[in-house]
Amino acid sequence: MKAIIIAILTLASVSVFAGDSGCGLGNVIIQKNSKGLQLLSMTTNSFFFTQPLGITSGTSGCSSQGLVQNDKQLEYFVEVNHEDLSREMAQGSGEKLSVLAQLNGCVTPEAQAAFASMTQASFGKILPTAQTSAVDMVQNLKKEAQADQKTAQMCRIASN
Amino acid sequence: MHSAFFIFLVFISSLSLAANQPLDFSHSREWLRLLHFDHGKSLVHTMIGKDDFFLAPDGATNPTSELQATVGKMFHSLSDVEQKTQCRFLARRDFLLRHWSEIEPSTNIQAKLKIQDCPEATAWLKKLGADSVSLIFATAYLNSAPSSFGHTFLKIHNAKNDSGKDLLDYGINFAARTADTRGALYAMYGLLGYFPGTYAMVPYHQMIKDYTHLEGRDIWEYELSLTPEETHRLIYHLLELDGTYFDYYFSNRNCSWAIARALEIARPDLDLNTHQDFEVIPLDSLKVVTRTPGLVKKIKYRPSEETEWISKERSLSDKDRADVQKLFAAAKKGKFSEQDLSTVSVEALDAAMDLFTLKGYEDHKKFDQPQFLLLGERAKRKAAALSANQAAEDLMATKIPPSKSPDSSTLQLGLNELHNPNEQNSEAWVGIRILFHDLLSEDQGVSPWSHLEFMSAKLYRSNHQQTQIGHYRILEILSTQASSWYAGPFSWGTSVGGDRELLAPTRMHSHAKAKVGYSFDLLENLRWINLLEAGVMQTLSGDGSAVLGLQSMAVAKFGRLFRAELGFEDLHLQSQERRHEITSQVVMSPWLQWELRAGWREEDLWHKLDKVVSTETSVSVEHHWIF
Repeated sequence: MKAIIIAILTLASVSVFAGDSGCGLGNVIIQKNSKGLQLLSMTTNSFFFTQPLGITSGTSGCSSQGLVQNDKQLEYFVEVNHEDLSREMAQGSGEKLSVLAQLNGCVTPEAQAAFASMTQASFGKILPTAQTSAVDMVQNLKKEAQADQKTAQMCRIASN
Repeated sequence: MHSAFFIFLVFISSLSLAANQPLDFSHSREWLRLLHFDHGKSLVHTMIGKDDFFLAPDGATNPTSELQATVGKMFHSLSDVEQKTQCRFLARRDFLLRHWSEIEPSTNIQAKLKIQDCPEATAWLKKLGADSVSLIFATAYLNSAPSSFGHTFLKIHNAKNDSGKDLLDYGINFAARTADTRGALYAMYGLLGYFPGTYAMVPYHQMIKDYTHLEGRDIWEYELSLTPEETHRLIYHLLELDGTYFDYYFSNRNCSWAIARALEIARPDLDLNTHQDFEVIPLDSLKVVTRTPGLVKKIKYRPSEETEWISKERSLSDKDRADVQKLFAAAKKGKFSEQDLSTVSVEALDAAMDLFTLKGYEDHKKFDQPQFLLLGERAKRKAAALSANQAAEDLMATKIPPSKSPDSSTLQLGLNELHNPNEQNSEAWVGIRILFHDLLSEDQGVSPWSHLEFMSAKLYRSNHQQTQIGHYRILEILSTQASSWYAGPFSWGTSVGGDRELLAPTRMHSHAKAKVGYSFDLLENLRWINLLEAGVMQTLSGDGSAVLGLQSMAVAKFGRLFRAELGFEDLHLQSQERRHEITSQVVMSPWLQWELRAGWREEDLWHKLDKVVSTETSVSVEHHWIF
């Protein structure tokens, strides 16, 4: 009887206290998940240690950290949030879509609104299939933004 | 010549006296916090797990040595040693420069201190651009009573992200590195501090995604009044800790302790109870912050995906709900492509997209393509969704912030009338519960309609002057997410403790049980919970016996003021013993932290063919506080 009580107690107390003791983020494990490695490649290196544990570089083994490189901000954001961004593009508005717009150089609210409308109107070209990758989404988005006069002007989108 | 030599001697001895000055200041609260010495057991040993955090050979046990070694290596060494040390320990350097006149009062050589350049750190810090800090609280999620403790972490804000781009800020989390450890070993390591705990930094949008999407946890952002200078100090110290770790204890050296400690280092005159040894939970830690005058500037709410879905589902028209149900059923059966989406309204499309996002986490294959088709149809409609900010503000207006929930420990005072065939007793009793809440407690911020109890006991004193413990719980958990057309989770629970024998109140019977079943919302604020129980329990004669039983309860909530419960429990023990219990209870919360309860319980006890009936009526007052 005592053994059963202790067993139930131990296992139950795990769930009581242990809720957030893990990484808290289950989705991006560097060693096992190629998405994690992909995100890691977009962050800066540590300048303190060869094997730091989290702040300055992305090798905690838990998820990628460090600071996102400037020229990778857009790609990183889309890589992490492409499901939500797809939804907000279809809806023509959203917080993440606004951030995406600003990352594309759309500073004013009017420019952001123009960008959002453009993504809704060109949705089928930005996201042609359910399997469209984040990288392809970024490329398609840039192309459509350049092609749309209003957006290109208001957001000062440079042609690559 | 003699006087010159004498003056020289005085000068030299005053220098060595100065070198000894750090003695007193080395036990200041600020210095001990930077080294993570503390009150309680860690006073003689740091909580930092790696020795290379310390510059003195005995630095891990001697804060005075460590202060002397730090001063020496930072300001009285060769240039390259000074630079390496100053740049490695930016928070310590900041501390020394602010308190130099107290550390070396007899010699004012501050003008001669060489402040070394740290180009890599400076560039990194400039890129981070830390200007201010928010304390972030992730609430409990449905069907997980243990997540009611919540989780705290930080958002480091860069002013250039002011214009609605704070998702690009960085989040700072403190977590245990548990690798692949599972099960009983996981429990043991976590309780005994065998996991290393470290701070980690992740872009904020990435950090909150799992909380809001996968786990269904709402996010409350508490913007703090930390200045840019204080924010830098926090970051300096996290940089110092990079490469080292703490021993992570589930109960008291966990995420909430570490986050509170980081804030205390940022603003040294803050006291956020990090010296407390017994237990600290994130929700309490949040309240210590929100109750510190002038520390919180603003609150922002981010609903989870699940909260948004539930809110949308409730406001769907009957036709729209029927459409969403049809689409959901079609997706599950793999027949989605046959659906005519042109007749589905924008509101129904938006709701279905939320539902399919949630369901996609469980089963990508079934829901990815249907979601894609929904998105395509929605894009044709041109109508913009309600702005996310407005939607969040509307939802926030219906919620009470977790910082305004009842505190985690409870003191109870009550009066009872007990009737059984042998006696009739009036009793007074006092109860204490270390953590946390039951089904009839106010539930803002915690997993609603749940029970989470850790370490409680009631002491009874009858009019016959007998005093005894009549109720105790080591652990009691109950999670009861209701089954609905879109989700059918188990309700589940566990209970380890004991209750007194109403027939013979001086005796207790202890138990350890597991429960599983289903719950249903008969109305929005009326839940019916049904459970099967199995475990072990003491019989009338005190022996252990297997027990199997049923429990059914109806719980109702009437706003914040009233809650009520009606329940019955039927337990069968091996020894031909059967216990049947009917309970009813009403609770009123006239003010936050106070409850009035009245209850009635009848227990029927069968042994073989004999039946005995006992009843207990009680009234009590409860007060909540942070332990």
